[in-house]
Amino acid sequence: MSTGSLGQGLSCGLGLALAGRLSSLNYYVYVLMGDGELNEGQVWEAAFCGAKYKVSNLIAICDRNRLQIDGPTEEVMPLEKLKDKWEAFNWNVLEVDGHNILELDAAIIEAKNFKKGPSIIIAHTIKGKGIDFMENNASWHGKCPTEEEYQMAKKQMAGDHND
Amino acid sequence: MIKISQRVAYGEALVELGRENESIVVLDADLSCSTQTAFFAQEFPDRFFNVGIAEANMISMAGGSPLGI
Repeated sequence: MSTGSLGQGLSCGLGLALAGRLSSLNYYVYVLMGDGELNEGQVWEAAFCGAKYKVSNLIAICDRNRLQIDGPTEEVMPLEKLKDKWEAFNWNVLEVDGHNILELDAAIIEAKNFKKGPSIIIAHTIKGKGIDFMENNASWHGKCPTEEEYQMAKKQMAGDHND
Repeated sequence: MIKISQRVAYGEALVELGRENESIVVLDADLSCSTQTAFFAQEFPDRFFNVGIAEANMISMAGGSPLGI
């Protein structure tokens, strides 16, 4: 389910997770959020509520690439200390290198085994990783590459796979 | 005809509907007394969620929940 980028995803996931619990269905709900998205107040409304109802089948993953449309998150609207904020809301907080599949996998298993409430995995990433002209560049937040740029990016990504 | 307030009628009707249909869930934003959803909360505590004064979250939760059953 796509809820867009304006902070509604965590609430929808929370509703979904509670419905599963009420129906005794044994599933987990995963909500992928951007870090800039955490500027939205609704995310924190859902954070309160997920903790209140100890929704342990809800696992949020935050793509912490530190860039949003207008630039670095810490300049547009500082999020740090992000881990402390989620902990203060009584969430189980895990931090991983978001480019490391093994670390992510281990964190998801740990979050699934945590039964006292909801979990959030803060996945530290580099926007545009592996493509030299896109890496860590906020201007690529929502822009389409030209045909030439696309071919260059494809080549670099293929090279990465051969490593 | 007995006259009762609109909110009491609403609250009592919700309880009746809740008895007929187990899939009815009530979300409330700190107005369970003002809207008399408190009747439903008392009768069906497992199907009642008070999300606090957080209406945007409440509406999106309602949007997500039917997908989960």
